[in-house]
Amino acid sequence: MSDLPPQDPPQTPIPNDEPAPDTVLAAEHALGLTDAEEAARAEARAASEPAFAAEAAAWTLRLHPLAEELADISAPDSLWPRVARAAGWPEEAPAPEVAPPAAQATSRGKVVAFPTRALALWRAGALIASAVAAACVVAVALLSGRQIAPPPLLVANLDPPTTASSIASEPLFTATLDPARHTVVMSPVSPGPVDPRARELWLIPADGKPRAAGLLDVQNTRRVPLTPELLHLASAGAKLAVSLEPEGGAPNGVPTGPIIAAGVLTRI
Amino acid sequence: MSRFRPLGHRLSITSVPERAADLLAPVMARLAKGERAALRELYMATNAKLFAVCLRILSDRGECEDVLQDVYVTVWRRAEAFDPARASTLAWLSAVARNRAIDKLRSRRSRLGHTTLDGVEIADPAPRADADWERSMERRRLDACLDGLRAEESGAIRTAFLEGVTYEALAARAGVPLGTMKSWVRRGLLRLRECLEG
Repeated sequence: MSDLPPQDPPQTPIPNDEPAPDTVLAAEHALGLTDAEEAARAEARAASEPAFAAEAAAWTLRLHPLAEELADISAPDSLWPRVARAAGWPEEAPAPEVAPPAAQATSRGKVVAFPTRALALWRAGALIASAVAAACVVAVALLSGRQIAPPPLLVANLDPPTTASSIASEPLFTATLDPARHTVVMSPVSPGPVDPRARELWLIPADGKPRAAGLLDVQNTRRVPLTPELLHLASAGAKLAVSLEPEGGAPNGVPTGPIIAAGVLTRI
Repeated sequence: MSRFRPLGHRLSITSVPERAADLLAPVMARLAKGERAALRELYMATNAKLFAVCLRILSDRGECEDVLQDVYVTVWRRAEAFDPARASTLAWLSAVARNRAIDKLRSRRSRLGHTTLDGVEIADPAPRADADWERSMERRRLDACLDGLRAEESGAIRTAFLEGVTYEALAARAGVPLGTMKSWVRRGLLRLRECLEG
C-alpha cells in the first residue's frame, strides 16, 4: 500500500486524550460519529458559533460526492401529495401535464370538449383539478394503506413544578398542537410567578434537548408557528416547557432561566 | 505536519470547488419566487437520490418518507437560504436530508438505549464499481484524496458518511478498540481536509 507514501510518518496516531482540532470535532458531528453526550455538546456549539456550524456543513459537502455511489431509489408515489399538503397547498392538484394517467382518463371527455370561453374553461379546470385530487386521494389510500386524515392534534397541560411550598393545582398554560397547521396554540390559564421576564416556549423531544419554539404572552392566547424541524420532533411523548428569559428570548437557543411550567404532549 | 505546501506543483484550488454546471439552479431560483411547479420539478429530479441517501442511513422507508417530506417543505419555505456559490442544489438537498436522517438515528439510539444494533450489519466494503466517466469531477478529486489515506482510514470515513454510524459501531465492525478507530478517522479527516483544500 505504498505507491503513495503518506506525508507524515504512518505510526503517529493522534492521542485520544488530546483535544481534537475544531475541524475534526465539526466533522465528527456532521458525520454522526459521536455519542449522545458529545453530540449535544457539538449541537450547542453549532448553535452559538457560526464558524463551527459552517465547518460542519462544509464537511457534509466535502464528502457529498460519495453519495454518487448509491443507486437511486424512488420514493413511493404517495409521498408527493404529502409534501404538497405539508407545504401548505392541501387540496390543490398537480399541474395537468403531470397528472397521473388514471385522472387523465377519467377527465378526457372534459379536456376534449374544452370550450374557449373563460368561465367554461375555469369550470373544466376545476373539474380536472378535483378529478386529479380525487385520484391522488385514491392512489394514496391504495398504495400506502396509510391514514390520509390529517394528523391528530396533540395537547398538553403545562403545570408548574411541584415544590413543598406550592400546591400545583392549575396549569400555567394549555397547549394544542395542530400538525396540519404547523402551529401550537398556547392559552394562559393562571399567571404563575410574578416576574417581568419573558416567557419562552421550548419543545423537548426524546433526546432531551430543548428547542426554542417562541415567546408567549402571559395574558393572551398565542398561536405559535412551528418550523418543519420542530413539527417533526413534536410527537406524542415530547415535552413542552416554559422558561423565564430575557426580553426577546434566550440569546443562544438554550434556556437560561428557570422552567416555570412543563407538560407532556398527548394525542387526543 | 506543515500547513503550507510548495506552490506551483499543481493548479491551485479556489474557494468555489470546480464542478459541473448545476442544472437545478434555475429551478431553485423559481422556487425562491414561490413557484409551486418548481417544487414539483425539484422533487421529481431529486427524490430518488435523497431517498437512497436516507435509506442507507435509516433502513426504514416510513422514516425516510418523513425525512423527505421535511426536506422538501423546508426547501419550499426557505429556498432563499440556498447559496449556489457554496454547493450544488443536489449536494445541498442531500446534506439537508442526511442531517435529518442522522437526527432521527440519534433519537432512535436514545430511545432504544445507549447501545444499538448498528454494529451488527456489515457494510459493503467496496464502492459500487461505476465507470470512471460516470464520476463527477468532485468525486474524482475526493477519490484522489481518499486514495492518499490508508485503507482503514478512508474505509471508516466512507462508511461513517454513507451510513451515519458511530465510532462505537465502526470499531465493533472493524474489531478494533474504540481509541484505535478514533485515531484512524481523525487522522484521515485531517489529511483529507488538507488534500481537498490544497
